[in-house]
Amino acid sequence: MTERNSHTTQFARCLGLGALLISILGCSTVVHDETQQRKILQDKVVGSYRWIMTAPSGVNFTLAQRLPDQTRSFYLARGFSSAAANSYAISCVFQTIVHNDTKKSVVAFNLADWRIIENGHERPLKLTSQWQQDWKKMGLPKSAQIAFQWSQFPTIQKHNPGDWFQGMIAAGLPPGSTFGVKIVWTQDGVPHQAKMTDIQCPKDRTIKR
Amino acid sequence: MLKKIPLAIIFAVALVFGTGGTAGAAEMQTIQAVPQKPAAPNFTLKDLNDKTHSLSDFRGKVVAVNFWATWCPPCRKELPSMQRAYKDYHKKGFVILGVNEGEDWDTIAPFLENFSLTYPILLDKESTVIGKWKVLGLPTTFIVDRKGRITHRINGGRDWDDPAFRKALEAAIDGD
Repeated sequence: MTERNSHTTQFARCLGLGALLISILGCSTVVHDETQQRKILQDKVVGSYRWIMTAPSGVNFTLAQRLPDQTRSFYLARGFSSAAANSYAISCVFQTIVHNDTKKSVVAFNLADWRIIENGHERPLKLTSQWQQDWKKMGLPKSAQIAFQWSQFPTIQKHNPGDWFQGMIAAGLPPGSTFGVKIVWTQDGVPHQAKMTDIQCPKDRTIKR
Repeated sequence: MLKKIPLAIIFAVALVFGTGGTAGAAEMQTIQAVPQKPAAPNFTLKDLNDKTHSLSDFRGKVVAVNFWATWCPPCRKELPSMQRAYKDYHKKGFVILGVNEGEDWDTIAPFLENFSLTYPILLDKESTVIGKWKVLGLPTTFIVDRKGRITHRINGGRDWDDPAFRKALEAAIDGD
C-alpha cells in the first residue's frame, strides 16, 4: 500500500444537544479535521484504492474499492448466476471496515441512516435485505443467498471497544463515478456524523497480476 | 488564573487528553463481557466427519462458539491462533466449536488442509443456528461458561496469541 494523499474532510458534526463541552468536542472544528487522519492508499498489486478516516474519538472507517472482476468472481464461485453477479459487481462495491478503537465507548450504527451523496443529492444505500429480494426473484440458490448475507457489511452493528466488522456495501453508481458518503453513528448513545468525500467507484477492468 | 487561560486552549488540551483518542493505535484484542449471562441457545450440528455434536454435550466445559466461513478474511486469519489457544487450554476444560456458515464439505475440507485444526468444525448449512445467536457479522465468537451461559462476545477477528487477549480468555475460562 502507498499513501497517495492525506488531507482533511468535514467531520464530526454532532447532532445531539448535549452539554457545552460535549457539544464543542463533538462538533466540526479545525482540530477535529486535522486529527481525522484521512488517508488514501493504493494496493500495488491490483491498483485499487482505499479511503481511511479516523474519528478523533477512535472510530475507524475504511472504504476499499472492490474491482468488479473481484466481486463478480467471488459471487460466481458461490452460486450466483452471471446476470446476478454482474449486476452487483458493477454497482460500485466497497469492502467496508469499521473498527471501534475507542477505549470505552459503545459504537452503534444502522446503514439505513447512511447516505450516498452524488451531485449534491443524498439517497439511502440499497441494503442487504433489498438485494436479497432481488436474488429471490432471480431464483438464486439458498447457499448463494447465505453467502451474500454474511459477506455484506452488516446493516445494524453495535461494537464494544476492540470490536470490528468488515463486509461489502454497494453505492449503486456506475463504475468510475465519484461520490461522497454520509456516515452516521452513535457513541454511548450520542449521535455523530461525518462525510467522506471524493470517493471513486472502481472502474470495470480486468485485473492484471 | 484559570479564567485567564483562553477557552480554546482548554478545549485543545481536552481534545488531546480527554477524548480517548486512539487514532493509529494498534488493534485492541478485547473480549467483552455479556451482561446478565443469558442461556446459550442449544444446537445440534454435524461435523466434517458426519458426527453429530450438541452444545449441551459440552456442559461443564467452557466453550468458544466461533461463527465463520472460508471466504471471510478475518475468520481465516484468526484460525491458527485459535487452534493454539485450544491446544493450550484444552486440559483446563476449554473447547472451541467452529460453526461454518452456509458451506459444504467439498468447500471446507480442502480449505482446512492448510490448517491443522483439531477442534470440531460444524456445518450450519442452512444458517439456522446463527440466527438464534443474534450474530451481526462474521466472525463472531461467544464464550459459553460451564453452566451453559453466554459470558462473553467477540465481534470480529482477534489475535488469540495476544497476551492481553490470553489473559482475558484465561479469566473467562477460570471464571465462576
